[in-house]
Amino acid sequence: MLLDGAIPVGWTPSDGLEATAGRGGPVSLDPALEREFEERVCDSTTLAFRVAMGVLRRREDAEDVAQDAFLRAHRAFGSLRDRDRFRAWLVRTAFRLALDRLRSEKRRARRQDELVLEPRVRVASVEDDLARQQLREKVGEAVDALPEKLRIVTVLAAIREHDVASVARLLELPEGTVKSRLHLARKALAERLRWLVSDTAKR
Amino acid sequence: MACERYREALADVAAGVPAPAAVEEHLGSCAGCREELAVRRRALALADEELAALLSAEPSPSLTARIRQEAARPSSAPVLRFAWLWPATAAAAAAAALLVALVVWLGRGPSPSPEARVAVHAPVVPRDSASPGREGSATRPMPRAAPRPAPEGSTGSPYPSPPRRPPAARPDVLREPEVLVPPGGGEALLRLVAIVHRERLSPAGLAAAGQPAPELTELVPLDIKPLEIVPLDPAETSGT
Repeated sequence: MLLDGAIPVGWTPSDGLEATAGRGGPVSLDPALEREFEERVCDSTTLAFRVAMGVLRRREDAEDVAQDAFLRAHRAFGSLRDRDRFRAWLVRTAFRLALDRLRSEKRRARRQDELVLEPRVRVASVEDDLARQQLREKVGEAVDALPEKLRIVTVLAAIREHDVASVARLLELPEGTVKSRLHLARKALAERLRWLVSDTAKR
Repeated sequence: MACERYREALADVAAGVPAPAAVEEHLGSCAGCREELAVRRRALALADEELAALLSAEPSPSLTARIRQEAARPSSAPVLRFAWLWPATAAAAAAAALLVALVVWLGRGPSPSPEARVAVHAPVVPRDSASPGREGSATRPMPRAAPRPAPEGSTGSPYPSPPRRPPAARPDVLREPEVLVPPGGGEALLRLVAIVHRERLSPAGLAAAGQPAPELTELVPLDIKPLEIVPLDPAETSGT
């Protein structure tokens, strides 16, 4: 089995673009496919970026993850020509890559004995007070605490132009399943964040 | 308590489910539950607000161009990054395998030839006292240990064949226990060994070789009288 990132046997740098077209090697798409891929890039860059942003909450990291997801998509584009299939694959890949990145970041932070992670949401201005920043962090933590299946539904549904039907298409799930997961996610979020509202009200 | 019964239903209502009539009725009469519902709704509104702000971010305009550029560049694929290392890796693996094989082979030690085993286990007998047909044996190295005597009734060569050892014990063949011999005593020891073998360890042979025969004392049975049991005199023991 050839893993992502593995080098095909017999490949040499001098083989160039035409040498291999399989998954994991340098891929040379024919011009028509290359044009299609470029269309997908224009079409779906924002989606991949936002999915990664929903997990990482840091622009630079989210852009890196989106780029990585597209490079993988380019290698597998032969089987991803269908637009809906491509977007579903891209969402899953970006989400998975973002989670991997977040976990490795947390591991690194633990190794360095950092008690507090760098705030992943930057303070926009001086007027952005401490309470606001704390609220953002707590919302982020509450989303992070959701199980993965509920988390991706929450992130996708929070993107403005997405309704339940489009989330279901992206995740290749029945709408009922999406609705059910979304409901469970919102109940969990309310439970986790209700103390924040109570504290704010008492001040 | 009535409010506890509606707790789960309130969570559902806060998450967006229409409130059933019973919940509506309870909310109309319970300020605490109304407050609880409001808190949960407010919490979700805050979460929605924050997530919407986060997920309305646009990627930088250069991202699309960057992706196109990286996808078009074959060397940008992560698969190519360490391609130059492959020949070196293969060579290093081959060298490591060779090294392991060499270490294993050396660890086994030199396999002793049958001749070498004879030189170790068989006693070297001087030409004048040894059996004929072993002229070459005088030039062999001096053994460091006396051989074991042949058992009575054994046939064939007067020299005992080396004891059979299991294959696993083979590396120990050359490591027999050493016998310290005073300077000049080696030849006398060899003569003694040869005589012992020739005479089959008989006491007469040992005596002829100049060794004092063990003097055995005659065993005489001891005269032991059986114990006599005498009952105690109660008069002697009652005073104590």
